Amino acid sequence: MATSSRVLRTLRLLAFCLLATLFAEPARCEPTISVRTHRVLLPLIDDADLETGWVETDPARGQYAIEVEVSSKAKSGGWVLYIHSDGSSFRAGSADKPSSDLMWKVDEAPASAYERLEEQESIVLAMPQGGDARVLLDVRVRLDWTTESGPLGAGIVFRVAPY
Amino acid sequence: MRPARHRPATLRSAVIRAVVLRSALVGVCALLGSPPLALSQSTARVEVDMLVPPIQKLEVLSPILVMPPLTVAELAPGYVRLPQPIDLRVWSNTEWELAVRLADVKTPDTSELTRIRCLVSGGTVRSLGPDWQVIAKGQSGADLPVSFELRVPFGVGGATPGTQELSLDYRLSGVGR
Repeated sequence: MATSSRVLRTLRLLAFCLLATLFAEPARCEPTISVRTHRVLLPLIDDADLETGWVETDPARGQYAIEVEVSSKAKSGGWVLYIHSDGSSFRAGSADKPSSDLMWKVDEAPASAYERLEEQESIVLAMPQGGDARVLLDVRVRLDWTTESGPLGAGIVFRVAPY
Repeated sequence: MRPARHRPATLRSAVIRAVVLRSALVGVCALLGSPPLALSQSTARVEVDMLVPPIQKLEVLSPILVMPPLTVAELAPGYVRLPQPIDLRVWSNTEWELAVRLADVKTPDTSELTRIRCLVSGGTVRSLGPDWQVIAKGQSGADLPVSFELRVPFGVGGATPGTQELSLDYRLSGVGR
């Protein structure tokens, strides 16, 4: 009797675990994010870039800088992809260059769509219906003749959250 | 004897209990959406890097200056000023300095070359020769004006008849870092 009671107790516990796992499925299906490359190296700057006022990934050749992939099951609900900078200024370089000099836009969008990268999150894409998505982004860095020579780097942080 | 017979059963029971408890913990954590067990990646970071080299550009706005025919009165002081200043424009993304030197001189009287004077606007008079002479310095910026005048001397006996030509070399370079 004692043995069968122990077996029953164990079975009950196992059933609970199974149910808990099943009900937990939506939580485990929260959207996830991945990027193809973690480092983007912009072309070497020349005087034409300083005259133009920026350097960017070459849109003429259909290039893009960043590829973000969001994975989410449609039934688990929608999601929103956010972007923000990881600091108020570029790293390195002798001058304090604000990170908002880094601009971004979705690859297919016109040049007028460039937005400054801010420390506060901005929405890149919202998918209320959920599902997977591949987002291509261009980046542009504002420059001029007062941009002092040296290496410059800035971090872009993406975050995906339920809609 | 009994403890020996019961030990495997106790061990088995403990193992089962441990497995069940672990499963329960995993299930509850998954139910609560615990990040370590949900294995989700909700953020990603991309680094954007670039290299800005020192870039400088110099434009000579008045590459050729031609003196009009000189009168006796103009020759009287023993030297002539060029009819207009030499204007340059500097573009530099780093701290810079501009140097000038005599490159080529075609004059009948070379003994007076050491007395060629360069007067930079807002600055002091400098003698020009075959060695580089820094005539202006500045911070980074675009379209920065540099202007200077040249005073060309003649010999004590006055200007020697003939054509006189003077060429200058300019050198724009970065300073500091």
